[in-house]
Amino acid sequence: MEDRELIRRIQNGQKEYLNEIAGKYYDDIYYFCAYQTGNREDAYDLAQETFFKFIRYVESYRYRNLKGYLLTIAMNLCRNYAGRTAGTRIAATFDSWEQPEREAADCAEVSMCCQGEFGRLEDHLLLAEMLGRLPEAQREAVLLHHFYGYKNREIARMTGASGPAVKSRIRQGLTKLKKWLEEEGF
Amino acid sequence: MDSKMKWRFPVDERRKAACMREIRLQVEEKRFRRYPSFAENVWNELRFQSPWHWALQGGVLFAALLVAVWGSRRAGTDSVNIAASSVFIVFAGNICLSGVARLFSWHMAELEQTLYLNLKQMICIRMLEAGVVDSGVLAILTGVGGGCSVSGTGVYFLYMLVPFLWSDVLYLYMLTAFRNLFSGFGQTAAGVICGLLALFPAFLEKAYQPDYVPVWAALSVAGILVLGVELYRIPGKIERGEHVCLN
Repeated sequence: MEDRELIRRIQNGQKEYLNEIAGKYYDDIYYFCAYQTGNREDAYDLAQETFFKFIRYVESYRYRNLKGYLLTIAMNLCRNYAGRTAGTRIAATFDSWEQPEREAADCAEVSMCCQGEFGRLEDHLLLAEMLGRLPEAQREAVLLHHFYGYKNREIARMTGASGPAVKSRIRQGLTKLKKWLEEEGF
Repeated sequence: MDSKMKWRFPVDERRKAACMREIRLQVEEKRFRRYPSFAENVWNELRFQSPWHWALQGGVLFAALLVAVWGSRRAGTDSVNIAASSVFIVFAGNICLSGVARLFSWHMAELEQTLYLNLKQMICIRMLEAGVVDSGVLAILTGVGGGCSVSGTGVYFLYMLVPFLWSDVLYLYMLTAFRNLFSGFGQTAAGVICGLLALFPAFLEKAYQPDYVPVWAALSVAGILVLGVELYRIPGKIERGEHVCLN
């Protein structure tokens, strides 16, 4: 079902469709929070909180781009999270990314990926670390542009920055990422 | 694998399922509040207006038609027609905005609290209604009067637009600046002052000559800008309350 139709039904009181929206976009929101905060564990809570906020205010939501709207909520939550955990963030980051990796080795459902794709986990770890080094605004812009495929104009609307500022953030972020990844032999 | 998906890593399905459970619980507890649409708000506001109010609005439009027809029969006396129409448009604005002025009365805040009214919304809808009727008056006067004018409909429209815009700017300013005076006598006085100002160009020999059309155009543009700013600021003034104390 189209997002517009889902929203129409929800606003007409059929609240069960909120679960459908959560199921449809949970992963997208989760990955965004994970890369934005650098913490895979806290990202589950942030993704959950994103949907809580959406559910709370869904009556007043005017349909435009649902995924973008959810990502905007997630982005604001991640900014608050960054403010709260400013001192402890770096230490938590690496633990939280390595822990699931260790669990993955024992986990049956992930074991099939370990045969050929164990290296991918290392890539994710490296990518997350490099993204974590970027300033928050650049990280947001790079994530939304390259991972989610949003245009500069859409990112500007979501982040409240100007179009040229978004373009500049993406360019600077990518230049730094490329340099750091090359240094690591990626 | 899709290249766009390469940055995705395996999600912990147990954690995800726990989150989805929490979300389902939140959905079950959700109680919907009803937000009426803009059209419903307008309808709800307008349907409680008294028959006297609608008779007054209709009377203003009918009088506009009479003034316009009277002017069209006096061909060749452009400046007299323009002056009469200008004064009329100013008074029409005064009458139409009187409904808005009443919402700025004392103790409206108490009424808002007691009856769960949304005063800002009510004022916006009443201003919209006044604007529609006022624009109707402007359209009638320009449409009928402009067709018979030697200056042409476009220029005639400019002559009407200037008193229309600036009188509304003055009324809206007085709604908040001299709120206590803007009822009864105060409103009449404001109407008379605006009427005299609208009549003023008729005493200038060349005011309605083609050479001065750019001046009228400049005054219109300035009026649009100032009125836009005034309309934008009024809801903010009500919300913040530092200029308008409704209690």
